[in-house]
Amino acid sequence: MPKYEIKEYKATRLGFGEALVELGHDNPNVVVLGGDVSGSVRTDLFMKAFPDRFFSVGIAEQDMMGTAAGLAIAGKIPFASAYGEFAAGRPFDQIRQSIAYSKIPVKICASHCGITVGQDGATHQSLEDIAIMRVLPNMTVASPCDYHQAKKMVKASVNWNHPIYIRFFRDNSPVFTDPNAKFEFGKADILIDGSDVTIIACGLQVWEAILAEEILMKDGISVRVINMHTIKPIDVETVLKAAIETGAIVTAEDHQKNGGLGSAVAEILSQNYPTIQEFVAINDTFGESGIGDELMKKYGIDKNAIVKAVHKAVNRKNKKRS
Amino acid sequence: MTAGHHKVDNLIAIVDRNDCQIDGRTTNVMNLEPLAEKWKAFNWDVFECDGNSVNDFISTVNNAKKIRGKPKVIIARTYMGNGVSFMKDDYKWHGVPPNEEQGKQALSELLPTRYGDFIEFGWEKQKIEVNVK
Repeated sequence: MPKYEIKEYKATRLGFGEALVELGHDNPNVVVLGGDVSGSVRTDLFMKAFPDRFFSVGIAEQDMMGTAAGLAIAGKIPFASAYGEFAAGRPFDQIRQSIAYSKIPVKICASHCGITVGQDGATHQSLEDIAIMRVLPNMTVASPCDYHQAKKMVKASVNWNHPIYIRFFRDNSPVFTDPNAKFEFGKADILIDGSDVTIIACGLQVWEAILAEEILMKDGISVRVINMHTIKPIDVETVLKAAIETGAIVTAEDHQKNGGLGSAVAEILSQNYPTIQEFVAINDTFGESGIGDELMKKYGIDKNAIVKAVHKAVNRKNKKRS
Repeated sequence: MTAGHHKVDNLIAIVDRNDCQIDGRTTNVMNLEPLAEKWKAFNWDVFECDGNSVNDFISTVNNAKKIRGKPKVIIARTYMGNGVSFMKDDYKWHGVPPNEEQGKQALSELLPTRYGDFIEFGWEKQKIEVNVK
C-alpha cells in the first residue's frame, strides 16, 4: 500500500475554481479575468456567482495581462486565467513588462498544464511555462499536487503580495493531502521521510513519487519524498538538507527538463553542495495527442520512470563511495 | 477592444503622433493611416490636437473627459524634438544621445520655450528650475 490514501479523484483546476468563489464571498475586491475558456479553467463558477466581477477579454491573453495589471493598480485583486501555453507563452512580454518588472501582484492562473492535457495535443501542452515564468525577476511560481492544495494555494495567494504564476492540471487526479494541513508558499512538504535518496516532485508527479516509493521500499531503498509546490522561491533549506542527509536527488515534473523544477534544484545543489541528480522530465521534445496516463508513460514521467531514475541515482551514489 | 467592449470611460489614451520611428518616417516604414478610423473601429471616441501646444492639449483632455460610455483616445500631432532647432522632426535622434555641446545647445533653446508653456498655466518658476551648468 502507498503511504497515502486516495480519498477521491478531483482536478486541481476545480480546486482553483472553487477557491475563487470562496474568495469572492470573503473579499469584494477579488476580480477574475478569462480568455474564452471559463468552463474549462473553472472560472465559470465565479462568473455565475459574481457576474459583475468577471471580465472576459475574449481570445486576447496579451490584453488580459495588461488589463489585470491595471485592475491591480486600481486596488482590485485580479486572477487572470487561461490554459498554460496561453497564460505564460503567448503574453510573455506583457507579463514581463506590466506585471513582473512593475511588481504588480497579479495572480496568473494556468490550467491544462503539462503533457497530461492529453488529446489537445502538442500546441496545447504547456511544457515550458515553469522555465519562462521562473526566469522572470519578482515572479513566484507554484504548482499544487492535488485538489486540496490547489484550493489552499489560491486562497493564500490573496495575501502573497508578489506577481505569481500558479500551474494547474486538467485531469481528475488523486486527492491525498489533508485538507487541514498547513500551506505556506516557499515551504516544501516532506511527505515521506527516507535516508538513501530523495525524490523532489511537483504537481501530478508528487503522487507518482508516492507510488514509486512503495515499489522502491520493496527493493530495500529508503526514499524521502518532497512536494516542492513552490518552485520559486524554492525551499533551499529543505533541498540542501535532503542532499546532505540522503546524498542523491531525483526530480520529477510534467515539464521540459530544460529550465524546470529539476533545473531549479540543480542550481541550488551546484552552488552549495554538488550532489548526484537524475531528472524525470520531458526530454527536449514536444508532446502529441493521446491519453494523459499513456503519454506520461511514453514520455517517461510516470512512477516507473521515477523508479528507474532512483535506481540510477542510487547506483551512481554507491559507485562514488566505493 | 476590451476597453471599448467594457465601455471604460475613465480611460484616455494618448498617441504621440510624430510620424517617426527608428528606421524612418512611419509613413514610409509602415503606414499607420487611417489611424483615427482604426481606433474608431475598436469603439473608441477619437480626438485630435496639436500635441506641442499645451493649451490645445489641455482643452482637448477636458473635452474628452466629458464623453461618457466610451474610452477616449487623443491623437496628439507632435514634432519629435520640438523646440530644439537641430533635432526637430528628425527621426535620427530617436535613439542617439546628444554630446555635451549638443546637450547644452538643446537645453538653452528648450528652457525658454518650456518656461513659456508652464508659466501660461500659472506654474511657479522655481518648481521647474532645471540645473544647467
